[in-house]
Amino acid sequence: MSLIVLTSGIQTTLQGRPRGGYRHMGVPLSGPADPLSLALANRLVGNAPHATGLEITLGGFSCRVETSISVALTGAPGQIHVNGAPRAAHKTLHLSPGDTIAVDPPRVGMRTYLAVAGAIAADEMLGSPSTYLPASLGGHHGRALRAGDSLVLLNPHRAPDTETPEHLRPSFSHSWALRACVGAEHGDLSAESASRLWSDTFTATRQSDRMGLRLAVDPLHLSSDGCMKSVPVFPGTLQCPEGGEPILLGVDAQTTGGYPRIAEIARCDLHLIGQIRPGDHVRFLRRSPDSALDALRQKTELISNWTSAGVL
Amino acid sequence: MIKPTVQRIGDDRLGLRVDDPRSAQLIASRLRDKPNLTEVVAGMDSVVVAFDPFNLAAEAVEAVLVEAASFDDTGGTGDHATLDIAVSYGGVDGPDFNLVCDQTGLSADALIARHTAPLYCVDMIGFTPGFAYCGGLDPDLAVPRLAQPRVRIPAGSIGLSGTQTGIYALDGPGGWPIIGRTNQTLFDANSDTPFKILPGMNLRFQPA
Repeated sequence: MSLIVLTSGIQTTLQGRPRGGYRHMGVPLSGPADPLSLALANRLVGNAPHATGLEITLGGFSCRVETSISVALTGAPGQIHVNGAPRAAHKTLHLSPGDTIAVDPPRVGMRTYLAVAGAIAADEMLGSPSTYLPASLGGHHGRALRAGDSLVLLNPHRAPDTETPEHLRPSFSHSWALRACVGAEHGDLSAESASRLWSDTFTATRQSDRMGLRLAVDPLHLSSDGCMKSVPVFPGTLQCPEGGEPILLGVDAQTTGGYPRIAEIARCDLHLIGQIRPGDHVRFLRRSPDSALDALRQKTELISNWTSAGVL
Repeated sequence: MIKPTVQRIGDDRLGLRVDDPRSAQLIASRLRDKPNLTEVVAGMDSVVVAFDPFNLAAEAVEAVLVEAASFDDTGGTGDHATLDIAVSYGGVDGPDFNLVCDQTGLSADALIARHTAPLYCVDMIGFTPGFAYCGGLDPDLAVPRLAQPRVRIPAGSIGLSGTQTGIYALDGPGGWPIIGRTNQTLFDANSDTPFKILPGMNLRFQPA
């Protein structure tokens, strides 16, 4: 029983449970760039938070289902159409055989998530079904979806009607404030640049993808010499190359790097990285690790009351 | 004994500075089966662990790291297989070859001769699947990273930075000046041993 891709959009991939525990082999985390939104979509169709769904980048995606199935969409708010009629996000939708569903390009945010009741079959690699494009791992033959692709629906069924409570629906804008801790090499920044890291407004450039975002700003100044030895890095690490314009690492980011680590995004805000689009403004809010952990606990409690599991 | 310095990294990681890549690999391998450590990654002179902050306090993880770092190991049996890598230097395969000649003051022939002479040792795998950081680079070939990293470097590209040479197993971004490229397959997702180059192996480059 299938879902047929009609239009694929610029990059739609299967994402689900991340590929954790392999960073020492150079294998990144992958999984949804915005795991909160995938979890919310899965909740609307009665799936576990990490069930494999579609990550749709900047909309333009449409498909046809060949069976009755419930679906839901969350994340970047591109208008949804079922058989041409507008439908709501954050709500269980019920499709009949032959129905088409489409997502328009969103005006804010980057990634829209489509979950289907009973999840989608994907190639498992190193313990995860998630797609890592650079190594063609997992997902649908390790690649982005194309028009004509046929995806296998594992257990299509009708899920109970529900909607995401309003207060749990993430808001979207063109300005983002990310809580972050000082990075291991924050001390390499000049005093003036260290101050500016926490007060300047950075702009996301067009060079952005699942590996990370390049941010534009009046270049920051480092006292180091460009020859730092490679250190382990993670999604949410903010690196500062010699040129002084930082790089914010995403879920597909490399596992080690030689640029100074000037900040680390608090775990509670990592999901926001997946929604920053070129041109958006970004600011960093300095937090101690313990204060970041408090925020993580609070946010997790709020969300897991609804999703019944931790997703951050 | 001096207590090793452990650094808090973000809200769910801790890092430890060590003397050299071999120490990093040894300490990392001791930590890898500890419960509640979700990632254990060796760098060139550091080890970073990620832990589950809902089940462990940072202080408890710090104690585990200090213990893992606290004894000497001068023995060890790494893998001593030697891999030969055929490299096409310069031109389209080595977009920074001329830059590196300028920075080092070496002619093209001298650069190739100096890069192919040593028997290198694989210090670390990281960055992307199968990327090998290799020690043993001729000190006269020490050059800095690119001020602006490239968004896309082709698989098999060979770069230099500081005291190491490195091989990019896959397409992807990178900040090292690139002097050449190999056509050999370095990562095979369908194989039982997907990564062809492992820490502890020896490598030699030859002009293709």
